[in-house]
Amino acid sequence: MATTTNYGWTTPDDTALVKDGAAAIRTLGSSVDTTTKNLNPETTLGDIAYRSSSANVKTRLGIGSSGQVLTVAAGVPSWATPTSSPLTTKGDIFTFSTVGARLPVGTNGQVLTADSTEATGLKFATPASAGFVGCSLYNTTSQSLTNNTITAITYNAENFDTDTFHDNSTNTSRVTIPTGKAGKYLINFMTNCDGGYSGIWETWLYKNGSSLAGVFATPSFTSPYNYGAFVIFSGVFEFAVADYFEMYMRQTKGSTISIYNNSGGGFLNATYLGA
Amino acid sequence: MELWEKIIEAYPEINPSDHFGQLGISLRDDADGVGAYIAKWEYSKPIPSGLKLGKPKK
Repeated sequence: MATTTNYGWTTPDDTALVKDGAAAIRTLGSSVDTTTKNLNPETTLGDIAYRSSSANVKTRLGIGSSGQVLTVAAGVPSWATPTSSPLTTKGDIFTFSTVGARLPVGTNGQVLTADSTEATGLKFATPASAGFVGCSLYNTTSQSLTNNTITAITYNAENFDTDTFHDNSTNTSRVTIPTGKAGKYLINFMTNCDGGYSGIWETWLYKNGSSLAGVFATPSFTSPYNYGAFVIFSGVFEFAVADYFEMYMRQTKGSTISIYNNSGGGFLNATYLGA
Repeated sequence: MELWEKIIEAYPEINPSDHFGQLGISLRDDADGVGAYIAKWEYSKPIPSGLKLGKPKK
């Protein structure tokens, strides 16, 4: 039996007998019908067909639903619903986890922050407070400074102390750096001293029990009016967590003398400037 | 008697208003209840008897 070139349909040979014609036509017609059906599998309005893995056989792809788009999945065409924007609210941000995701806008003042524990790796968060950090100390009573003795200056009261830098009853000369507050500090120190003598006032900043800032000596002072002398010390210094600093003074009047760190008379201020 | 007074008593050549630091003597009081002590002694004469260098135990 002969066959057609493209689809291999069986046709009568030139030598076939006429009596075999009907059967041959039925065979050919059946083959044509099968092939035509294989090439046109669509059954419904909007269906499309694409080539299958078998030659001369197409696969029907039923029409998708409204809004779907033709895409490719697993190597063959398919209908899919397109990813639409998840944004719903003013200020929302389009982010990504394993798929596109909505990050709702934060509240006023919050900032966008990277956070690996979040599904999208992002979140809105309130920034750390940039408020004042530090302390201001004074003493409700005068302090006696023994002659020629380097003496730690004590404070039994606080104007403010944001992070428990100081204790009014224990180690009252110390300002201790709390956890999370290592860095640079502006230190301002002033004290009001008895006057009326010629001598030297020296002031030191001590760190962890040792002199840090050296000696700051004021000129010899003689007051004709017996007014007090103000000693002022200021500077920026760096401290680690748990470091403590103190102010020390020495006077050489030749006898004990008093200093005054009460309200308005003197203070020790520490202002945290940052890491 | 204060510590500085004991030193002057032992060495009368030192005046009360002399700068002890310039004499090599450093007295210190940490205001922790221990009181004054000799933190450094580089004076030309030895530490007076009865006195010691360093901070005593509280």
